Order: sequence, then structure tokens, then C-alpha cells
Amino acid sequence: MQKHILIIDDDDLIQAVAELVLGSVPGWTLKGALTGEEGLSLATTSPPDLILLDWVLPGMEGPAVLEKLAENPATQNVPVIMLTAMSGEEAEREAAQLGAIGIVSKPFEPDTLAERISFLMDWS
Amino acid sequence: MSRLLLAGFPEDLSAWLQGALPEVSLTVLPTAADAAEALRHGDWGLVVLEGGLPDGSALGILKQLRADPRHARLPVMVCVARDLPQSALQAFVGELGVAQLLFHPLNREEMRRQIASLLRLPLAAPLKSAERPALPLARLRERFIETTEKRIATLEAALSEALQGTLDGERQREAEREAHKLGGSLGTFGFAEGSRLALEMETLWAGASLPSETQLRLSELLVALRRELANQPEVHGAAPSEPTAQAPRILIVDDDPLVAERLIAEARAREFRPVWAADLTAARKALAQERPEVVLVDLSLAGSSEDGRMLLAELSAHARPIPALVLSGKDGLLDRIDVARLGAARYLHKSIPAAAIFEAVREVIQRPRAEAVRVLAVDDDPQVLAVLESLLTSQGIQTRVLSDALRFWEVLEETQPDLIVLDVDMPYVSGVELCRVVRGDARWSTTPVLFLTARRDPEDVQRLFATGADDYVLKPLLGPELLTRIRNRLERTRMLKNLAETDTLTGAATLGKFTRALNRACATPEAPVTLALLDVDQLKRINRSHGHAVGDMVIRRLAELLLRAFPQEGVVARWGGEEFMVLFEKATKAEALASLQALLASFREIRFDEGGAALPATFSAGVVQYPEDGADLKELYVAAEAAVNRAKQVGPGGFSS
Repeated sequence: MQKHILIIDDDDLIQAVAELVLGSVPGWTLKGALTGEEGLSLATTSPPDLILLDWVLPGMEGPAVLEKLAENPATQNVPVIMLTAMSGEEAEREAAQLGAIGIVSKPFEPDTLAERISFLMDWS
Repeated sequence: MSRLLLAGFPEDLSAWLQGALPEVSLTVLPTAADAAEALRHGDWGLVVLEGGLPDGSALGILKQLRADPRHARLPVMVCVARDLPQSALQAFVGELGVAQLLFHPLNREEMRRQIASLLRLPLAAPLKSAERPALPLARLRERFIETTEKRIATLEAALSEALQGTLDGERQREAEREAHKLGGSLGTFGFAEGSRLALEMETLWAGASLPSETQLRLSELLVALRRELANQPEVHGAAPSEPTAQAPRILIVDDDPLVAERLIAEARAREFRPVWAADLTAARKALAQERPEVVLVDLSLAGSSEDGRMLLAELSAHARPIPALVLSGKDGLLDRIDVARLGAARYLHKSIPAAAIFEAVREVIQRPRAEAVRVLAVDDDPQVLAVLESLLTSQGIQTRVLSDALRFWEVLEETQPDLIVLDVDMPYVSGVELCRVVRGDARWSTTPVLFLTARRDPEDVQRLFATGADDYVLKPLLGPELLTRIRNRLERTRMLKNLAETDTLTGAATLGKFTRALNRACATPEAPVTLALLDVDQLKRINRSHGHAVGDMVIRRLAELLLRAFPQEGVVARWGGEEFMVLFEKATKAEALASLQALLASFREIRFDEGGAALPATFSAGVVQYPEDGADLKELYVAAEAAVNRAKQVGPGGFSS
């Protein structure tokens, strides 16, 4: 089955890497948004299977975006993985408290990003 | 759920820990008696004890605890005073099996971390290692370079505004964000070191204010980052210096063509190969063309010190730093410190004659390297220590290695190191813990600390810097990288120390350094200890009739003669204006007088020609001996001053003892 992934990150370089890495996985398609606001509107009009959400964003920050996603019936069931420069149990816990299913630490190894996502999403 | 017994800590700390460790069930007890009682019953995952409990010692509780076979292996953490005797520390981690020691004053975050680690609280799920062909990231290479370039430019612009004092909050946040992004993208594109540099910058930009030390650090980081990106394939392993048969190349950076022209002519006359650059860009170009032996920089390029400072930072960040001398119109101590921090070898006031400038240049080029430098390295892995020892010793660095962190304080006092290398993760006491306490002690608060760590998490790295680390090196160790970093650190502290210990006009010792040399000599009085006070004759008249520049020259030349005649560390000191003090460690008064006579003869030979008038100079001297003429420096000085005054009555060039 097709998996639609939305990545919300203000770094277009990271977007490009994600496109290269995740777009090359058979069955996965990727959309990108550079701001939280843009990401929210994309997620509402066509809810993806997964959102990769950068913690630090200009304007509306990652946690605020997560809150809005949870308030909206159209998006409240979409799983979210946070992209963050933090790592370790504290970051995991904080992300979980916000309602994310997990984190991907930045910088990430491009080679392992797809695995990490499959692992967190239990996609085989 | 993990059960933790916490005994003897203040309430607010206990409450904080409970909040910070929600997955742990915390039992908080105020006294030793309560703790002992609780330990008899419950089932515990970890015990954390205050070393000095109000009603008894942790030692007592632990002895009782370990006597119970059920608790023989129960992990225990104890918080103790830093000056606890070595024997007590040994008892804690030896027979009492304490897993971790923390030192007062306690750091909550560190305590939380250590507790989590001892309780083995779950960490992030491990990544499955991927068996995938490498991705064609190369396709994004150009875009990566372009974006990175833009981001670095933003950081440079923001730093430049900060240096000029025109940075606003919005710009600072932008810099923080850009540094943050750099940290992410550089790491993703395989520049692990670049990512580290960027993350350190992010932390600095995030600060509420940017004091000048922070600005300097930021400029160092930017330089290091550019270097990292520029010569990625050959960052490490600087080529050994090749002997040049040619005349030494000197790069003169000055935006005033008239001044530059004069300097170039003077340089040629002294058999240098001068190259001129009028601004930073031209200087960079000249540097790229051919490496000069030395650089002479006018600090006020284009009216501000920005470009000059940037250039200095770049020169000292070179894998093989290029010595630089700075010409400046300012003469404040802060200006000097600032320039020394940027790695300049000499600070010269613009008014000094060209001859003196090039004398200083010669000295810098010929400066002998490798003073006796001491490094203390602590790591529980003997193999790492062996590598460190052979690596550093091969560079002429005195290295003391220590595998038992419990002996740290004792060995620290004994070694008096110029730099400390600490492993982050060690049994019983972590390197972070040691560093924290080192920073808390006034004597060691400025000694550079370099960490060895296998952890790359930004959070861990930030923790190291927050603790007071100056730098860190990732394990497994890379010899050249480690050496470069240690050298950089040492060089920087040495500059600052030199500033405090040497007189800037003459290079002679200051009072403090001389006093230490004297005390050393007097401590082993098997040989006579003699002091001479030298006073340049009629310096005021020379200053009046020939100008202060000539007067300064007279003083400099006398200092040179003295330093050459008595090369031991710290034995020649400038005593204010025209006075010098010389320490003879193993000479009688008669011997001291004889060598001063010879020196005076050489000094008389020097002609301080200015405007055609030959000007010979002389000095008078008073010689005194310890302990006959005085029991300490003050008494000796008073006696020596009296002797000089007697000598002067005889006429210029008089000696008295």
C-alpha cells in the first residue's frame, strides 16, 4: 500500500535529503512544507500516513503544530515523528508527552532514516 | 518500577529529583537512623546517601548494609566533600562497593543522570544497523555547498555586528537558528566535526548576552568550521616544517600605503622577503599563495579592528599556526589581552621605530618552542593512557597519566598541570564530575580541560561545555587531532600567562615571576644567592633630549643583554621605569660584580644613534646577598637600592655592594 509522508522542516536542504532518501523507498511518496502553517493546511486537505515534524520552526513551532493537529478531527489520528537536535530518553519522553510516536535525532544518518521510520511505524 | 532510597538531602533537591525522575519511586529519609531502618526492610533498586548525615556517617550505614547478604550487590551512590581523604574514598568504592561518587556542591542534573544510569532506565530504542548501499547524496553536493556557504555567511555577518555592538535580538536569534540548521545538515552530510562546531555555536548564540569571550570563541569556531569544510581530506596531520634556504617571507598587512612602503623597505634591508596586503581579502590571497614565516598586521585596517582580528584568528587556527605580530595605536591592557587571545605573538605600539619592529619579528621567528608543559590525563582505560602518554611525550610534553580517578585531587596538586585531559565515563567518578569541581576551585578555574568521549549526542556535548570543558575529542582517538587540540589550548593559555609574567616592553620577567624564582633559589641555600639591582644612568636626560622612543630603546637593549647573559627562567626582571633586578642563583657578590662589569662593557659599546649623535649609555648596580643583607625580597631590595645610590654618587657606571 502507498504510504504518504509529509515532512515539515524549514531547512530545504533537509527536505532535499528526505526526498532523496525516502522518495527512493518503493511505495513511499513525500510532500514537504517549510513552515508549520503550510504543513497544517497540507495535512488538513489530504491527511498523510505520517508526518515528520521539525521541533524548531520559524513562526509556529513544532509542539504548537502538534497541538493543532490533535485538535483537528481530520488529522488527530495521523502519527507524528519529531525531528530534533536532542536525543536520549528525555527528548523521547517530551515528544511522547506532546503526542508524537517517536523522535528522529538530527543530524541523522541518511542511510538509516528509512529504517528508523519503518521501525517506529512498524511498517515492514 | 525502580525503587530509590534517598537519605540526608535537602527537601527541595529530593522534590526536584522526584519530578525529574517520574518513572522512579522515591523514598526520602532525613537521617541515618531512618535510612538504616528502611534498608532492613524494603526491596531497593538504588540507595543514594549524603556522605555526612546529621546523625552518623554514610560509612556506618554502608557497613551495616553490606553485612546483609541480600544487599551485598545493591548499587549505592554517595555524595561527599571534595577534600575527603583518599583513604575514605578508597573505602567507599573498595570494601563498601559504592558504584558512584558525587562531589559537593551537588549538581542536580548530573545527579539525575547518574541515578538514571545506575537504574538503567530505558534509553532510546537502538537503531537497527542498515545494510544498504550508500545513497547518492553526491547529487545534492552543490546545493549543500551553496546552502552551507550562505549559512556561514549569515553567522559571520551576525558575529561582525556583535563585535561592533550593533547586533539586535532578532539577528541573534537568526544566527542561533542558522547554527542549529548547520548542526543538522553538516552531520547529515558526513561532516561530524563541522556539526559539532555548529552545535557549539548554537549554544553560544542562544545565550542571553554575548560577552567578548563568547564572541572570540564564536570567531574561532567559524574559522575552525571553514577550515573543516575547506580541507576536509587533509585536516589532520600537518606537514612538518621544511627548512627554507630562502630569506624568510613576511606578510605585511597594512592599509596605509605610506606605512607599508616604509615597512617593506625596512624588511628588505634586513633580508626578509616582504609581501604587502592592503586588506583582509588580499591577505587571504597572499596566504594561500605561499605560506609566510611571519605576519605583521596593522590592527586598524579600514578604520576598525574587525578584519585584523579575523585575520589573527585565522592565522592561529592554521594546522601549523603562523606567528603574527600586531601593530596597534592603542596601548591598553585590555587591547593587549584581546590580541593575545587571538593568538598574536607580539603586540607592538605603532610609535616604536622600525628597527625595533624587525628585532621583534626576528625574535618571534627564532623563538624556541616547547617549554616544559605538563599535562594530566585521567582515563580508566590503560590502553588509552598508554597511547596518550607516548603521543604527548613524543612532543616533549611532560605527561602524567592516572587510571584511578579517586586519586585525582592528590595527583592534581602534585602535578600542577597546564592542561587536564579527562575521560567522560569512568567508574565511581565521572570526568564531568571532576571537571565541575576543578572549575569550582579558584586555582584551577582557568586550567584548560579537554574531554575524551565516545558520545556524540548534542545533549551530551552541551553538557560537557556547560560543565566547563574547553574542548572535547571523540574516541577512538586520532593522534594528530588530539595533539592539535591540546596544542591550541596550551598555546592560548601560554599567551595569557606570558602576558601576566613578562614585561611587554622588554620581555623580562614581572615581579611575580621573579619572586617565585627567588623563593625557589632561597629554598635550597647550599649555594650563595645574590641579587643585583641595575639602574640605567641618566635615563631622564636621554628621554628629554632624544625622546622616549630612544629611552625605550636603551631599556630594551639592556634587557636583551641581560636576558642573553642570564637565560634561566625568571631571573631577569624589569622593576618599573629604568630598574632591572637580576638573580644570581650560585654566585658570590664578587662573582656577580665581575659578570656585571663585563656586561657594562658590552652595553657601553652600543651606540643609540639618533640624528647622528652617538649616544652611549651606562648603568649603575648595587649587589646584595641573601640572607646577609635581607631575609626577603623587600629587605633585599631596600639594601640593593641603598647600594645603587652609593654607586651613583661615584658617577655613571658605578658599582657597589
